[in-house]
Amino acid sequence: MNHIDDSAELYALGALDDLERRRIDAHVATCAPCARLLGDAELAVTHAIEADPQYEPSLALRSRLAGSLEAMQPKARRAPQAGWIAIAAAFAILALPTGFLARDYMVMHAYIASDQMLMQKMANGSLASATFQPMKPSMPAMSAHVMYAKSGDFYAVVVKHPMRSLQVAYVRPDGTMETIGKLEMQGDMGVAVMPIDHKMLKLALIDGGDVVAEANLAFD
Amino acid sequence: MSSTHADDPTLERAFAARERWAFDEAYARFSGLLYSAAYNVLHAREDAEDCVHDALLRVWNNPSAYSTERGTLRSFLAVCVRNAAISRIRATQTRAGAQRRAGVEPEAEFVEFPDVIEQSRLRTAIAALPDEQREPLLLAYYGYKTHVQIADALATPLGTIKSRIAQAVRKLGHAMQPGAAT
Repeated sequence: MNHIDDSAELYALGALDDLERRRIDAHVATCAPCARLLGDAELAVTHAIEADPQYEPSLALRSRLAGSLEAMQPKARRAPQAGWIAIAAAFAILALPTGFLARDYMVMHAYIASDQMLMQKMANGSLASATFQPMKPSMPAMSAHVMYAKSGDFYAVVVKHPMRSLQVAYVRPDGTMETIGKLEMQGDMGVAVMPIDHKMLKLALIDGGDVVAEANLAFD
Repeated sequence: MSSTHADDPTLERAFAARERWAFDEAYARFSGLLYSAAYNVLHAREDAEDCVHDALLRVWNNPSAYSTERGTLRSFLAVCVRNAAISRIRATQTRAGAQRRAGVEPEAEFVEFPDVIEQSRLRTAIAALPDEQREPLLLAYYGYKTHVQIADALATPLGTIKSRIAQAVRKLGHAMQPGAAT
């Protein structure tokens, strides 16, 4: 992605949609000059936030936050394999008919084990999956799936034996597309994990500008 | 380390390193600001608390969300919570629109254009902006519009709107700095 330029002020002001904001989050995580630019814009907007009427939250919010943090942390300390089992179980239920192996679950786990919220999401079963369908019958068979949160804030695409490193794109309702991730090769699998907070009804796999497969997603 | 007397840079480094005491301390210092940022958008106590709760957990569980290069933790969290609140209100507007299209009345319509600027310095700073910068700034900050919606509403090219909003925010930042003449 290019540097963020004027988008820093739009981000800080709340004038970007979720997808655009996620892209900037991803960029500033690896670009210190843009992170500083965004920080300056956030400071400017915070002056306006401070000038708005000020209120205090209830005391219950502090306890609720503490409880949520505690609920996540002990699980990881006491039973480091519990998350793996939850993921394996979730993906087994969702993807077993398509032939995913235990080794595949481990690849997924390597990507997402550090994310406690995601682990919790998987453990409580708030996930769904969809299969990518090739766009042309002549295309080589490719086992490709997306596992996603029903809340629309997480997507993981797994492709077995991809022809090469494919890109993942969001297909907007008007048919336009936006690249949101790229498969990273793990052995014979390509994986893209995308914590994007947007309910995307259609995803596409892109190879050199061509759509090779599409998946339709459903949300509650 | 665990300290309630840490200076801001120490707290920021600890928060970036995800030391648990830093989460508690950040909440203790900034909870009023964060809750206000959410409440002033959502105008509902329970929604605002949900928003602060979810936004803070999301930041805490994403190790790359905050780095000290990003600037002050206070402004990072304030903008993060406010953006989360704006996302919620946009989702509500989308649902309400879908319900109207389906012939179902939404439970409540709570989107309103609040009585803006209370504080004189902010009022002065915004009043000093040229009309072409002030209007998109107000539509974004108080109307929760995206830059695309603002460009449509003002029938102005997107690039021009982006540039005008950016200039307006920069001017606002300079004017609101401690000691700046207004």
